[in-house]
Amino acid sequence: MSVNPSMNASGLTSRIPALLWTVLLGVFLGVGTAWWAIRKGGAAQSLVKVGPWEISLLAGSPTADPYTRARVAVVGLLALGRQETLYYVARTDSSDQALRSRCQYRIDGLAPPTRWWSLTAYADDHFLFEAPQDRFSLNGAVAQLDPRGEFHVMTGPVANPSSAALAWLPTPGDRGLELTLRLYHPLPALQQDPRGLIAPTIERVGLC
Amino acid sequence: MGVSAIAIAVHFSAVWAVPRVMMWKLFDSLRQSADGAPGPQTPVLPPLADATARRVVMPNPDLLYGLCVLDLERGPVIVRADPKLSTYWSIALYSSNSDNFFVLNDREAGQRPVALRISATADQPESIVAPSKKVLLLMRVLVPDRAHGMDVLEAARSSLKCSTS
Repeated sequence: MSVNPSMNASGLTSRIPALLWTVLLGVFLGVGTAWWAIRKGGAAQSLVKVGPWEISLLAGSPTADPYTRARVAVVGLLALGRQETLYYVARTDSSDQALRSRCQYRIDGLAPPTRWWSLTAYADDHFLFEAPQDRFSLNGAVAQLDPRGEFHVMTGPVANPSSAALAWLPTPGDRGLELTLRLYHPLPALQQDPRGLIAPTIERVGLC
Repeated sequence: MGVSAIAIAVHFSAVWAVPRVMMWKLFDSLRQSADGAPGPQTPVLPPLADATARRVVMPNPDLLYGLCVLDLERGPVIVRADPKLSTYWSIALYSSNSDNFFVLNDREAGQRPVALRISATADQPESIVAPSKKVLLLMRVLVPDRAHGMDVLEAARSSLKCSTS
């Protein structure tokens, strides 16, 4: 039995649009689900929450699962392992509402049990705000603690006159806000179990 | 081959590729920054991070950074530094898939000068064996207060040298 080459070619031609759509749909779904898994972190096995703060237990580690590695590459490339540094990131306040730069927040917490710490405000693109006077962060070397050993910080687009005594991190504009609490050389117990942090609270102040 | 098979293949390929692409972009950006500077492994020493620092996400404004791209294709690379600081500093190595496979900090180094030999093969017992032939070195020097002591911290960072011999 012989096959007519022209019929074969015609059959193939008629199938090309269907094949093309199959491939395009597959690529779209594959990229979309990968991006969702990386951005939302749902598939990363190492993410844990401590109050409003989220920490990846395997950030920077060679033993990280592929989702953790991909997520860290997008939101915190060049992270150090937790024996060196713990990174706690908050994208919501203590009431689980998304942080916005136009709102004012008060952050209160005990100075973490670590050699050195800092609290930094980032825009939702993971870069620093255009902050006046280089007020990008508060760190343990300059933070003023109250008698209970707590630090207090305000964030917002403008300084709040009623909280003038508190440190202020400017967050200009109206966009998503991320707060990162870094602990360099945390004490061994916290290094072993970062969920043991007494998490600083993040409370919205007033309307926004 | 159905839609789901293609989607699964693309999904896992994308997750695998993201950290490698991010590192490749960083290597490329640093290579362009170092172009014209003397030496094949010239450290890149950016200013303290502010809103214009867009090379790597989450720049820490409390650190001075020093970066070298180590190309181990041509053989081992020697890294030297002599920060002479009592405050935090570290030298970390990252493979081309973004894993942090080595870190040395001020406590481990004491006040001694640092000399590291990084190789892609276990050719000498004292070498640090890298899991990839291209490696990023990132030196961090803590800046407790931007308003004070920057000259000492700048000198500590500038002690970083990366060379092929």
